[in-house]
Amino acid sequence: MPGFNILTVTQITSYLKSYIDENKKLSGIYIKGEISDFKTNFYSGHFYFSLKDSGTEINCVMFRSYAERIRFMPENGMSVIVRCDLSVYQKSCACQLYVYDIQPEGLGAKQLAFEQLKAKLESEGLFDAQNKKAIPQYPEKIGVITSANGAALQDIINVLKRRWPVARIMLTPVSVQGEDSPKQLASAIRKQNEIIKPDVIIIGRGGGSSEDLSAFNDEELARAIFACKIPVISAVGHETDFSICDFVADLRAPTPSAAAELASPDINNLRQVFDDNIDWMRDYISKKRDKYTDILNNFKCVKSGYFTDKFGNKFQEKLDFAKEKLVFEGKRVLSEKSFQYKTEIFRLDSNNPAKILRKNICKIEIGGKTVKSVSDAEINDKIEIYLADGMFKATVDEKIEGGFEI
Amino acid sequence: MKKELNFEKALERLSEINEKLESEEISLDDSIKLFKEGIELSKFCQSKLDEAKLEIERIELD
Repeated sequence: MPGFNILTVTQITSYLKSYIDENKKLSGIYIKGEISDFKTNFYSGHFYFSLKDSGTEINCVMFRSYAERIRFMPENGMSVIVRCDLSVYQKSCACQLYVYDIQPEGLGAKQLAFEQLKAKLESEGLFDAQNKKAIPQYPEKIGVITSANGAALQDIINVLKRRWPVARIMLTPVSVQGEDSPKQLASAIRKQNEIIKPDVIIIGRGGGSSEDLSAFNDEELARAIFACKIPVISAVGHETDFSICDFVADLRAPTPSAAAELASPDINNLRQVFDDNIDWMRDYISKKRDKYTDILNNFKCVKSGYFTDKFGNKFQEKLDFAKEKLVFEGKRVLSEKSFQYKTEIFRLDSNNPAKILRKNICKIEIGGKTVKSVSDAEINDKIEIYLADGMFKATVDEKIEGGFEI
Repeated sequence: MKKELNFEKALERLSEINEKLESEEISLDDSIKLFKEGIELSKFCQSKLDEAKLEIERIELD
């Protein structure tokens, strides 16, 4: 086709690109839209996404050098304002936005970054109560991470001097704001944990703007605190300020002064506790002594009055019982013997020879032998006849045998 | 034979004496001797019984 100026695809694309790039109105522009198809390349670190509204959409790329500076992670559906240049991707002649910065619409970027980091660390368990370490009651070494010339350090020193002057304060000075601050804070935590090894660490700074405090919302710092084996007390700004550092720390203090109070016992209270303990011990010892004295005295009583105390009473009862039985048996035997005796006495009395003779009975003997039968004596035998009041000496004249009829 | 006289022996002897006295074969002289011995023995027994009674009373009051 003569007369026509024929161009290649590359030439027209190049032309379009340079035409757009030279147009100052299309560089450094702000564009509002909703993020979709968000991708990040793991190796390159670039962000790829589309910005869309109800009418259309446009491809966006954000190179790593810019993407790194974004404090939050872009997500699909997020309404944002991007600062960018419009240009042409020559390979496909695609119009696209080269993004330098992304600002979330509504929430501030920092605030969003904060919320996102907080949600992320929370889901990983960095804030879990079960991971919180107990603050030691009586620290010997107290680590402090703050600015060497800030008011926070002075506050901490003043409180510790008053409450717990026996502890050594181990300061790791850091800058508590500025770009380099988060790295310094994180490495200070690691240094305290690995080298200084105090009993407790206070990290913090005095009050300031949210920008001033933002160094304490750093992920690296949060992870350093989480990895730290020593209990960490965080005191960033004022009571109303909350930082990521506060959430991940083992204990949050509203101010640096309060952190120092939480890290230390009051020595005056402790003195009181000691005094109370000494009083208690004295009391205890004297009670013990009294008790053993009582036991000893009781023992002495038992020894001296064995039969009069409760032990003795038992024996006394037994003794009384034995005595009663003895008396009873004695009486029984006595009455038995008395009876035997009376029987014999009665017999003896009835055997009284005088009595026998008195009952008109006589006794006849021959030569001391009692004559019981007529056959015992013969005619002319000399016999003796005894009566109660005397006797006869006689001779047997006649013998008649045969009993008397009664 | 009568070395240590006690109540039992005395009572035994008294019973023996009564036995003999009741046998009728005994002479009057012997019976009188035995009777006298029995009286002595009964005195002894009575005194022993009195002693025992006193002893028991003493224990009872102790």
